[in-house]
Amino acid sequence: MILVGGFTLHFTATNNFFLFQVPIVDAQRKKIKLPGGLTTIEKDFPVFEGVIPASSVALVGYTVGKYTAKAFPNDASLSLNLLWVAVLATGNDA
Amino acid sequence: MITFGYDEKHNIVNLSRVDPALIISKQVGKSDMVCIRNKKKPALCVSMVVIEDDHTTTTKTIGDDSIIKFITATPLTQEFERFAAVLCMTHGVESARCQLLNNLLTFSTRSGKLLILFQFIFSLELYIEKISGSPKKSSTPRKNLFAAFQSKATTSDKTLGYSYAVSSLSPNDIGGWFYFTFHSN
Repeated sequence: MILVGGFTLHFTATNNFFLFQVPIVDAQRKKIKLPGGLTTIEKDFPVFEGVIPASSVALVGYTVGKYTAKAFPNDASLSLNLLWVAVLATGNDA
Repeated sequence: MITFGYDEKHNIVNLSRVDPALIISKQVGKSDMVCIRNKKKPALCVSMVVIEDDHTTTTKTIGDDSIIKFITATPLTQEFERFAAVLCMTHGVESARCQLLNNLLTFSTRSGKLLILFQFIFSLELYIEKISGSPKKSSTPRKNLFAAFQSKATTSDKTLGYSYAVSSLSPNDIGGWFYFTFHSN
């Protein structure tokens, strides 16, 4: 916490006031309405608390971009740009 | 949900199910992005995966102190093959490179630099102090605060805010990662 001229700014490692988080939502107890529900998934579902356990089944939302890597100028390189994750079932490590 | 393929109205595709003739790669901003034909914004791609590692809260530092958040995940059986084939067809290439280690795909955010963000925050802080005229009362030394954030904090990414109009990772973002090539059928 920092006091700034009468304002109090809280920022911690998990605070997303300044530092945005990748939306990880818990979709285990509620169905996702397809397809429209995918565009509002961050608002419709609660945040998944903690780190997603290994072996969890999830629906991931992303965009795909193409770029040319310096190391491989003759090849197409693709980036999978993460937007959100909806956890559908947690793995055994939960 | 697994069989969902494509929805033009909402601009959503499942690359393992969609007819590749319906999507194209076109320039959006500075990057070539996968889009549904006749759509201006990049398509929201969705895939069913099995998560291996979640690094969305514990970030990874790469290259020159850039930080990314990512997950690694395995697509379902045979979904990856179709996914790869569709992407190669969309981009008109026989093969493409992506972040793939064994059968784990990496979905990541853009890289960011915390120091730049903090420089902005502290500039803002000084500005507020200046205009308010009151002395700053800081209970935490700035030096320590920097150290705490560099080791623990997550970083920002403009893919958030739910705007799909995002640019892709640059080549510098991929430092230290393995490259594998997949081929279209």
